[in-house]
Amino acid sequence: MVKTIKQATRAHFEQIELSVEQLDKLNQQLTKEQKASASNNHINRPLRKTHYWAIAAVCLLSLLSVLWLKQPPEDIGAQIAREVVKNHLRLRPLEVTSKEFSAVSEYFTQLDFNLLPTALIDNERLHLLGGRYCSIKSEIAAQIRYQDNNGTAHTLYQAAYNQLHFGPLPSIEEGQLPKTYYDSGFKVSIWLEKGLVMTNVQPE
Amino acid sequence: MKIEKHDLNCLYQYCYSLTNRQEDAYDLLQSGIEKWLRSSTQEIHLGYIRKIIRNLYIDICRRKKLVAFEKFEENTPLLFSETSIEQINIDMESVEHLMSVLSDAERETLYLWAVLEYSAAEISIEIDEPRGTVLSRLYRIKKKLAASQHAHCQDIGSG
Repeated sequence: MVKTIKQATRAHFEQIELSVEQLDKLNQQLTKEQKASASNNHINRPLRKTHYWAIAAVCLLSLLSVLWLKQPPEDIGAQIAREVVKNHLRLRPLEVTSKEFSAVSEYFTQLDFNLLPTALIDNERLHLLGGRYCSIKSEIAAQIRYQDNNGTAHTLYQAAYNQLHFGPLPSIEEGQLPKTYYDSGFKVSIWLEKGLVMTNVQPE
Repeated sequence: MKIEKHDLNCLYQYCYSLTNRQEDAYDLLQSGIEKWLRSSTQEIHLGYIRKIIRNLYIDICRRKKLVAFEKFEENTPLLFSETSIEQINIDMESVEHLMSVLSDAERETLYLWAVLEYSAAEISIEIDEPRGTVLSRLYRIKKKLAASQHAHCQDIGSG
């Protein structure tokens, strides 16, 4: 099968994967090194007076920053919104182009889930262009690109849901509304649908 | 702190682009992660971990007295347009052969360009080498690709 040099190179490298044993070994190495590093930090050494002053200064500065800044921590949804808007703006080339959702879905063999034609995309107004692999918060995801009647790009991201990574999200099956964020002139909607995280980016 | 499976595979593929052998790629990845864990920065930044892996690989090659990353020569032709290589078609068998004839540096450049979709300028920043060196490598990749396809056609013809 003939492909462009980019597609063929990508296919060549994507078939190179760590085995389950290799992954386990690497994760064990990560855990072991982190434990060793943590125990080295606890070696018994008498603290000098200057150390006590340094610790006190750090504590005071931390307390003052919390009191003075008083900003709530950025929620995971806002982080996701920023990441997907950045990806949307890059407009990286599509890896599969088709107007048929089934054809686009068939391309994504590396995902642990099937793509879903979400109920929240208006297929009368938006026309499917294709898709490509991407990631959201380091989780592998599918990026599906649409175009409206004005020629403006909309991007829908789908990823497997993991509460640790994505935090609690509204489920449309339970009648909840998507979370909405605004970033760099785009409206980002995030919701849960049939076990998948859906993120839609459109012009504000 | 945990590196996700997808990121570990990306790093493994990067190691494979340098070594072109899965066993060596795995060894390089293990050593790279070990060194990253001992570094002062433990943020999971793939670009930083790739840099550690690259430097380790250069050290390994030096010890084995191998030239992994050749210096840029002034008179080497440059690839003036990245689209001229993008438009080339290739079959999967030819890709395997191409990878075996490219140097480590050329394979790395091809990986960064095709898989991570970096431009020549972005590759130059990633590997800390002049943009001219990157363009020179892309030119050589294009030439070797043409030679590889020609050889493949001849094999089919004589077979």
